[in-house]
Amino acid sequence: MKNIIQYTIGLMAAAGVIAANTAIAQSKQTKAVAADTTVQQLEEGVLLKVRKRESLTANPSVPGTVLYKTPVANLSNTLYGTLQGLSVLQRSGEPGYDDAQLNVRGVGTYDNTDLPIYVDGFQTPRSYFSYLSPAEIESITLLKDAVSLAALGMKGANGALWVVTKRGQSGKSKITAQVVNGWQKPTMIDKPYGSYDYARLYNVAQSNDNYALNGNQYVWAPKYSDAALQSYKDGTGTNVDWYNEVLKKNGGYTDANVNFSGGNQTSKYGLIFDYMNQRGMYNVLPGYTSSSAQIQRYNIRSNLDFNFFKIFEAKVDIGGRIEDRKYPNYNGPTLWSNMATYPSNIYPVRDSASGFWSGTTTYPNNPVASINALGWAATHDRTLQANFNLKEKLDFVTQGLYLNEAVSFNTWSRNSSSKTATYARFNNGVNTTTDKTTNLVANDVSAPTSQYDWKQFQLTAGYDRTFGLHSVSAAAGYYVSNYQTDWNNNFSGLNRVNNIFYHYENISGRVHYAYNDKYLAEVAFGYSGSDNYAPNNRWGFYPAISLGWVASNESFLKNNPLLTYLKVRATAGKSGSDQSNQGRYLYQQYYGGNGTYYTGGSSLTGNTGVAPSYTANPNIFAEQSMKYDAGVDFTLFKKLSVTADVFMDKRSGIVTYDNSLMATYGATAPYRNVGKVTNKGYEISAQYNDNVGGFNYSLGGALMYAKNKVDYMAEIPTLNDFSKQTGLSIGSPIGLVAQGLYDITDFNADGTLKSGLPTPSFGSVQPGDIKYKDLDGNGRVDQFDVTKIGNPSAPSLYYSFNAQAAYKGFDLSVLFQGASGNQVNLISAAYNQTVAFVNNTNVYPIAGNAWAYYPSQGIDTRATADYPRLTTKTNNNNYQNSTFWMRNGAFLRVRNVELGYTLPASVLRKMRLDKLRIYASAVNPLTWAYLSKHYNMDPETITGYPGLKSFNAGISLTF
Amino acid sequence: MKMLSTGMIAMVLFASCEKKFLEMPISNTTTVDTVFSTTTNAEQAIADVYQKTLCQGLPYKMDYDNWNAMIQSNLSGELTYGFSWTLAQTMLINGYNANGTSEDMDGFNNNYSAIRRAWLVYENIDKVKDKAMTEEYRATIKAEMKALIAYRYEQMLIAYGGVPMVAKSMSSSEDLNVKRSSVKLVLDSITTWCDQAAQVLPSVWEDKWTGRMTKAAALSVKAKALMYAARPLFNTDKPYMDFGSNRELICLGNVDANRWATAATAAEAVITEAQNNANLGIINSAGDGVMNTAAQALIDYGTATSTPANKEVILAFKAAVNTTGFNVFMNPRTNWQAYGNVLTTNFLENYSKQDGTDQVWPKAGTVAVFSDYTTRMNDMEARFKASFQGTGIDSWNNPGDANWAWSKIFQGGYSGCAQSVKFWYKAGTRTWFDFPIFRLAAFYLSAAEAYNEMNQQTQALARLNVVRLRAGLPAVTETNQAALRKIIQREWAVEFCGENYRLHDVKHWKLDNIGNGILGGSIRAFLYNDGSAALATANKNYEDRQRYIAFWSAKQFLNPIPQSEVNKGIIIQNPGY
Repeated sequence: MKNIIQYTIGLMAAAGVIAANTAIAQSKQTKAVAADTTVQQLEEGVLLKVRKRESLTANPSVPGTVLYKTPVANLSNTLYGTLQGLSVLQRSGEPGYDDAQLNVRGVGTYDNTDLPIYVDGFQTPRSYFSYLSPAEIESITLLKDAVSLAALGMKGANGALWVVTKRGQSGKSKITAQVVNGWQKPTMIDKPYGSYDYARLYNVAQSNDNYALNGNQYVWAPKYSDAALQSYKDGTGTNVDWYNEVLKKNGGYTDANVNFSGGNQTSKYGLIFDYMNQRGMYNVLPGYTSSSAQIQRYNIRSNLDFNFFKIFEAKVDIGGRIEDRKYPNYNGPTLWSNMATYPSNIYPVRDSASGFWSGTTTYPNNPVASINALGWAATHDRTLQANFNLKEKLDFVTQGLYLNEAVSFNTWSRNSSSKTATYARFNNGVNTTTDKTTNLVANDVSAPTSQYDWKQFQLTAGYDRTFGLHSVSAAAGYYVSNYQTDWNNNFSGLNRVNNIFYHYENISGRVHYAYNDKYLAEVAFGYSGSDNYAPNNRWGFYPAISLGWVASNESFLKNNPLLTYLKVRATAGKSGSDQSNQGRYLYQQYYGGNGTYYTGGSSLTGNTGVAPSYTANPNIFAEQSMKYDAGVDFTLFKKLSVTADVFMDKRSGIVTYDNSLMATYGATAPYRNVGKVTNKGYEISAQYNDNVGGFNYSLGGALMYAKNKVDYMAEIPTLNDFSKQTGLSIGSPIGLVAQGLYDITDFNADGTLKSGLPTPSFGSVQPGDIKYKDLDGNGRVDQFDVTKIGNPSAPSLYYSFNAQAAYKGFDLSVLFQGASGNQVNLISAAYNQTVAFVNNTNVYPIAGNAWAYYPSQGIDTRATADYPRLTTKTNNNNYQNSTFWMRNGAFLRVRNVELGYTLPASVLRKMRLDKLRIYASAVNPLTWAYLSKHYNMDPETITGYPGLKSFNAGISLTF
Repeated sequence: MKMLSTGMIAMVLFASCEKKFLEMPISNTTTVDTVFSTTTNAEQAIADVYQKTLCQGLPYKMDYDNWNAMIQSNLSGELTYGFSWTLAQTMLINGYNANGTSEDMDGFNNNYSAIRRAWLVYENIDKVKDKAMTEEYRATIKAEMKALIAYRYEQMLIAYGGVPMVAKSMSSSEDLNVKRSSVKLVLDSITTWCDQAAQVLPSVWEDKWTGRMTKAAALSVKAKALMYAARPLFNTDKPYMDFGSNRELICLGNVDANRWATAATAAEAVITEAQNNANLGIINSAGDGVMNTAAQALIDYGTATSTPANKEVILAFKAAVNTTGFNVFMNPRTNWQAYGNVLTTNFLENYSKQDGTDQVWPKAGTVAVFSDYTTRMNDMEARFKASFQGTGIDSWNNPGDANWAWSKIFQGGYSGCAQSVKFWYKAGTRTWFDFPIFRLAAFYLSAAEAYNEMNQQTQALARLNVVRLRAGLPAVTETNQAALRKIIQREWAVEFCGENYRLHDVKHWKLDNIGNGILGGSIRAFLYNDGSAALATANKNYEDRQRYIAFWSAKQFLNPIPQSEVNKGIIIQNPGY
């Protein structure tokens, strides 16, 4: 194989040399190429651009103009429902750290599912992609087919995003300016009860805790007196809504950009300047002593094209930006956890006796003080991607031959600075902790924190030609990548932190062939080398093949008025993934330092110990994906176009810690390529466009279903078969099967369970505790009784539908997106909002109808309780993972709705403008979900900085 | 254009070095080859084997998350379980189960990690070719590894019965499905390895290597294994629970009185080697066979159990607390968790007064004035005072040291008979100690126990009284076998309190009352001030009360093997789990 590589490279290089040396001498006209390709739409892709009608890859793409419709700071949050096959899930809404989770066609592996992102043909880190401005983007294509991904070799298994930036258009110089301004607020927040309900329920919890002490009798033992309760009720007692105190009504969002475009046959330019500012939700006091969470971003892009000496096409692209983030000097997730867990009645924001910030040893971090009294921390990021691309059209050698060399430098660095202070905590005039109020001190004026640089080179030789009925488009390339980062930016996993260099090579090829525009065939390959593996085991070969038939070009369908287009296609191919979360260099047998052992009689000698770490596996290699796809594309009446696919992804060789080895082996087990997952599903999308008397409209919908199954994962053997993770979908929750709550009648007078009931082994139980099923029937409920208790948190069904209409200058669009088949385990996903009182935390409405029985107080919820009896103590029985806490995670959202008006041309001419459009839009204005309906929980962002909705107004003009 | 062609040529050259391009610098430089390249590096692997092997059964704190505060005495009825959240609490109240951390602290599986690392050194030490690695040193290292492996198997044998025998470092690709061997086969392997090692090992190491395996240490491993083999739990054809055709995994399959003779011989061999060749001996300032004074007995016993590298210790776990985190939970002066480890009344009753008679403690239900407590405590024998600190009393074993004053050691909420301060005799502010794994006194008691079972009471008394007299107690003269057995067993309890003998001794003796006040049943401790905790000063009164009822079931004669291992289908679980 190595010979082939060297031969290929040698050939390409030789061709390059010839091309270069003959370039000056040659001045023949070679312009005839691609006269009609500009007419027909092309599909972007690896190595080749194929006409969509003849494409076998059928990858969806979305133009930057559509992404721009969603005014959000992070590009990944514009992708909802725009690319069929890409599931996008919203995560934290914290400015600057709001990446959405991206998965292609469900989840294919329990190892790393990150998909690589390519911008103008070169891979970039996720962070580079996330803060590109949509204004810079021409299109994003989702690569999910086996052919494109085989050509990406060891980077292909998880699919890829293929981003193309905006270039200049030849013709008259155009300037487009756009401004949008928005008001952002949380989609929803699951808020705890106020002081009255907190105190009322605390009384129940505390009384419950004395049940066993009181000889299994219900004795009312309140902590809060009736007078205290009354004071909470009538508003005289302390009742702080921490969310109200910490958050503003609105955060803000502004984006403004200017795009210059123009040029002629020999040179074109596209210049884009973009400024974005997102101002977070924290209601900080005015002044410079603190800061809300915020990000400002300045992007500049200059994409230049030059044609010269007839055969050369050059591109010089510079994409640079600055990101400034600033936050209160307090950990964001901890702040949100404090707001979620600090009860409303603990203290007022300011201590009424002293006027200083309130705080106690139990609740030391007053959330309002956390954002105001600790100072701020900021980061300053600088990024530059510079790409240079040179194409030589070698039609003088043979018609349709070309060579292309491209190089990319991508560099990023981050500096940090902060000004910090601390504050004294007071309660009732008493200083409760040792903290003292200090002045703001500048810590790091600007200290370098992290960086990366990424150098890449791609050499391509291609050939496009049509001979009679045969049409061939082919390319082969050599790619080399050298990525280097700081340890603190390095991925998790073994041997990562110190090993900051990543080298990778890929030789790839792709040939697309069409006969008479009817019969299509395509082959592709990637031959990749990764530095992660042992010297003789670094290269992997990934082939793919695809066949198709454009039936509508057959004579019997030609000019059929109903079925205007029909193509069927099938693809199979291999790809790999070399970025395991388990780590790198797993083939090396490392020894690590391990303690000190002493020897010596009269004096001690310390002897450093070294011990083998995990067992090396010399054969460790990249995870492998075998992808199959069959699809059909058709158009009815030239108006309704439909694409449908069934797919299967069989993963094998997933890097897995081998738990199956006996302990007698005595070593930390090796990582092995033993994991297997099958992921299957289907996709259907349809788009209908029509125009009725000047009324333009379109309707579209897309649906993707994917379900995976772990075939093998070398899991720790379970006692009972029903406890196994193998055979289930990745991330299937495992826990106990709840059977409602224990009733008083389940117990004997002495507080023991009646005979015949299985004994729970998580601590003593009393009426109102959760009763579990003894699955193995041994009379004990314990950790061996666990089984699958629901669906994974990743949805299996992901869908969207959209509508656009335009009439006389007005335009309206709306995008719905939803997901289902997922379930949420409240204990793991929303612990603080679910578990009441334990560890001095809060109580939420979910516990409002907890099991309780105090007839003397008129409390009896035994018949209707949907929450176990309250307790103020750790309760290992009730807060186990179990079916009791599983909830439907499905949701449907309006992702975006926009109403715009474009001024008529007659008016514009007077204003010397080409185009002027004003619009108003809303992002995430509506959500339907079980979780939001019952608990006011955002189904995607259950805890922490919430997901955002926004209302925006914008203007766009071109002159 | 010339530049371009140059670039192209450079590319070709570049590509031809592709092999190098993917060869990344490895930042972590220690691999299997570097470890066994020099003697110095190999000694690091050896140090690791010592630490990994000899830490068996000891509490540890490796880092913030990885720690286990339990000490074996929490489970053995010597001390209470400490705090309510400890592992010991769960095991004492609910019994052992196959899914939790086992009594041997770092668990069944880690035995094989230690054994594997020892085999790796054994197998790879031949690769070391430098000058320092003489053939003699190489042979010694191999003998050390064998003796360490034998030690770990001996400890496993006592706790689990027959276990899988691994006689080399296996590769992950070979058949790892090793079944359990019989008790007899494990025992035979241990004695063989010890005999082989003892032939090669030195009697003493040069000073800087003191603490490594010696001939006496290898013989000690063997003697300990043979003593447990002679005791009733294994030396039987009727195992403690029915185990069908698998009974040889948990007993020797027959009763053989000769096993006591073998045990006696092995114990005598340790004594001979230790005293004749290794410069070791029982520390008795009054002289061999002479009754010590009470004051001197405290000093001698304190020295023997606490002073690093004293002449009574054959093998110790020499890992200082500060750097390695072992044994940190045994220091009540610096570790608040150790302060939860307090003496039970059940065990207190094993100690006699300094005059050799039994102390009379208030019966349960009787409240006595606190001054009575102080008086009675001050009457106790020297070994008690060297091991415990009485409530309200400045530590006897660090006399006059303010660091060990009651006011320093006391932390609120304390209740129990006395605070364990063993191993800290005159420790001052030292935060580490060498845990004694083999102390010469053990082989005097082993020999005494064996001779008594062989009906050779005269020899038995001779061996027993060496230990008694050093403790400043009058010699025992009892010649009735059954009565003397009880005396010897009580002597084991007192002399080796806290030294990880008691838990397995009472099981292997199959004591009648094991579930009724020894390991299981009512476990009592003193409370103060009308049934509550002790105060720093001005304690009013004290009384004996039940602290908890400990779980006992016959299955607990041996430990459970982790269920996750049993589920792999090769290893048979011990009966009852």
